[in-house]
Amino acid sequence: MSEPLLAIKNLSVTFVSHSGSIRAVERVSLEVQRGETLGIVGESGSGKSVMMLAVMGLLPRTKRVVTSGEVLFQGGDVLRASKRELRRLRGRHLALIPQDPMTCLDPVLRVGKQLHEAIRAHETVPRAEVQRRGIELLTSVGLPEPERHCTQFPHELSGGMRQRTMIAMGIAHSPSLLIADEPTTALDVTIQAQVMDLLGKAQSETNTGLVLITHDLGLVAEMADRVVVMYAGRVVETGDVQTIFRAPRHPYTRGLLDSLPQLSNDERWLHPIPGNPPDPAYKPMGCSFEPRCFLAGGRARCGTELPVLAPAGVRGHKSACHFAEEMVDILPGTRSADEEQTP
Amino acid sequence: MSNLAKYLVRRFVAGLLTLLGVVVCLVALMDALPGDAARTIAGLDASPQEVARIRHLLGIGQPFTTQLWDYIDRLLHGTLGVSAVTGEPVLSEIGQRLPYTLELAAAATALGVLSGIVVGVLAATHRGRIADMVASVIGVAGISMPVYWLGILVIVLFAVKLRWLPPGGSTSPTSLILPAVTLSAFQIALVSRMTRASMLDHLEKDYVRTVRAKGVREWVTVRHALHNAFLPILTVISLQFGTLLGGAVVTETIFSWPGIGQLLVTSIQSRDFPTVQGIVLVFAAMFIVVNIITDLAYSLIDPRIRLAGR
Amino acid sequence: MPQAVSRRRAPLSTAPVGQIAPRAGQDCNPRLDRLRVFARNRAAVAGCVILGLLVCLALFAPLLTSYSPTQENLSAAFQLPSSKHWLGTDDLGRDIFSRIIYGGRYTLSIGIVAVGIAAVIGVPLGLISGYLQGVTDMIIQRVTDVLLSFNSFLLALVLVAVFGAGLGSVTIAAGIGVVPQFIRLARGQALSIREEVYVEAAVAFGSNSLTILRRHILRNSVTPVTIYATLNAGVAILVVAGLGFLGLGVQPPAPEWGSMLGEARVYFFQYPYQMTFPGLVIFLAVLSFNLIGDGLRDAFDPGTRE
Repeated sequence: MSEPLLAIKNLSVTFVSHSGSIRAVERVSLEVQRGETLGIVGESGSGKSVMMLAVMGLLPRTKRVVTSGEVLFQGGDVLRASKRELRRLRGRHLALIPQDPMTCLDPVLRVGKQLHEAIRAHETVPRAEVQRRGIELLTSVGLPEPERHCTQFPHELSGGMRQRTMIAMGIAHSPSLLIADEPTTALDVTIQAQVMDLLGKAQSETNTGLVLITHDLGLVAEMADRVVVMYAGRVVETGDVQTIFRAPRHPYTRGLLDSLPQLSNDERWLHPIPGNPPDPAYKPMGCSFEPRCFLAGGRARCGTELPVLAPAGVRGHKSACHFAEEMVDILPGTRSADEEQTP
Repeated sequence: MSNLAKYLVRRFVAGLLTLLGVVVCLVALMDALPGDAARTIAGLDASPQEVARIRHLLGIGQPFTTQLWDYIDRLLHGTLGVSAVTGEPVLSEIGQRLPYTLELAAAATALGVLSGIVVGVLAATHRGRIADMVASVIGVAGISMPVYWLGILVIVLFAVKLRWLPPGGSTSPTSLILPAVTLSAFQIALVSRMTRASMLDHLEKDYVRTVRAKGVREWVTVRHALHNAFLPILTVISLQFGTLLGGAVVTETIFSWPGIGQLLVTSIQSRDFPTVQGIVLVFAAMFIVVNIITDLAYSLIDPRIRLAGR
Repeated sequence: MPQAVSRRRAPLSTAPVGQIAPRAGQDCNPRLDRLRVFARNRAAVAGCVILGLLVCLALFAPLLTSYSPTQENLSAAFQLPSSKHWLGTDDLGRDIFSRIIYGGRYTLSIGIVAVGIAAVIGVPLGLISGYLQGVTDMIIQRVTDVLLSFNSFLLALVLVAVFGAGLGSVTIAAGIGVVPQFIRLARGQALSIREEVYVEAAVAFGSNSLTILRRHILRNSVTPVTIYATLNAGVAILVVAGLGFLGLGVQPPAPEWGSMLGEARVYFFQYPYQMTFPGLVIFLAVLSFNLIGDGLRDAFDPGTRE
């Protein structure tokens, strides 16, 4: 196997304040290969965005933010890179398409100027050339009137157009790794499809690695090659997309899949996972998912011992559950409503 | 008529109304003068004719509406009355001195705003480090510092002990320096505090993160944030114009700078009410103009405001 | 064979929502909590200490010095600080130290009374303006706007010009100079609080406006008003001292700090000490109020940065 494009090893990010520490990301390890699409799934607060900020080196470097572990990209550790190296990487080899296009563009500058800034950040190019490339990029992301677009301000554009502008800025230098943070959350369904098409196209054209951070499982099912499931700052399951969706080995993943509304069934009720994610400042001692887990059944081990990510099932599939093997019996798609089965 | 012209006309009319209100208040205050003001002005040993003349001049004893009407009438004829002390037209005295005050105010504002922004940006980008702490100290000390004390200290240090700069008057070109610096202290403190707060706010925003993610140099990020952060700074600058003029009054007195601030103080001390009225009215007009200019500046800086149609 | 597991839902009672236990260092009483934040702010504490010191000096003046502040002794004029006269003597031979600590009584009390006047006049006006809205609001707003542009010092100056100098008029003038700030603040409070649900509920229950104003809006405004009062006490002191400096304030021989500074100005060339101390102590007084006010604002106002 060739060397991975991005390798995160034991990354932990903790925010420290007088009232306590928030362990946003805990000992996360994952890899992204060239040309593959990795989907990172989790609820809000699972730490997925913070992790990606760490990968980009965008976390504030103050005493309040404690990071440990390694993030290896193109042979160097991003966490320990100098500011100059980070600048060299960002935008050029490693690009971020942030979530929420509403707030991601500078409201007082014209869109065209911002796009040109992205281009000029890594290449000294004469003005006419920059403008030409800007128009080219905007056309490639499917914007109908690129020239007019360039002279407009962000608040004059729709959400979809802004998102596409962000993508244009992201792919401007054909980066090796593209991180898309919730690329579809702020958009309506038709635009979502177009945007994802764009990303897919950009990826296949340049063999870019794509990291898709989302809580939308449907998106992951369509686009991803492999999936990482995060909960409360930790990776709880990882594997290729088929296996994860067909035979999940972690009760949380199972819960997520079950909670998806299905048009085909006759079900009248939705089945959300009961309870709430833990407060990141006060995580329980054992498995973080235990209070909401149907598999735990009150077993002591779940409450006291933190499960580690261990191989389960087919190769490459890992799960952080003490009782992952028991998941084999639980077939996806079977809903037993509220029937209780006594052991 | 374009949007801009309509807006200016609206503000101009509003300004006139405000000035009218100020005139009413001033005349009312004059009317409320306790005791026999005319006698006080004329002096204890003045002749009855002198006292009568002054009484007539000030319009004391006449009903309020008459006084008001007289004043407005005079105003429309382009005069602010005549000084009760010197007999010279108030307007010409103010006219002579106004450029000096404007010069001082402009110098102090330029110095204060530029230094304040620099200090504030440094504090925001080096948060928690020495620059930030120094800025905090400057900030809180600057707004607590009495202008009059600072002025005297500055004179003693630079003019007396070190003899670098002249202690006052308006003779040499360098005599602007000390008064301008004294007057700007408060501005620097206030602007730097506001800049720091506003910058910190914006440096955390999403669009700044996007800019950073493009891989640009750090100062570009700062420039983006500053552009966005500038609006509240501008607000502070315009709100503080009043304090600036107040400080100018004292500063001109200390440094014998021949502006209208000094005139205000001497007129109050000699109870020359027409002059006081005239100066206050001129101040009010200046505030209104500054307000309008600031509003226009808002729309230049933030395109969202501009396009909302003014 | 793996154990068959019952597919029952995890009972909600075992899923704690949010915190498991109160955070370390936090109290159940939010007020106390905020005071703790205030106490951690070293600058604010320093402000308290300085102010406390100044107040003590002023209160216990007779105990601290044997000299009267107005006792002249021309033969001992312009003496440098020594063990006999701790801060030296002024142009009329009066002991500067005693003038300063007795002067504290004037300056500090005038400052506080002025702010009190401003609050008593300004807050009700502002609350009414914000609550009733409509024409009343518009008029009060416009007037306040104009008054605010003229800053406190100019306003006070004009008032003193008309009504003459002296202790009473200076206090009132300084107070009125600061009134617009309170009106503006109280109006803002009324505007935001009247949108709150509990006010709507009170209206629905038929409470009349006065009760609502008093019970809900006023009570909830106490904190911001206190913070503002502290911050503006510094402004009031600067105004009073400024008027004194120009000779328009408290009249000599009263040892008010501002007028001391004004008198000393003439002699700054020969004898700078006379003006150092009054100015210094004005600065310290204003500084302490500002530090405390800032600390209170950081501790009690939501939207503080961490």
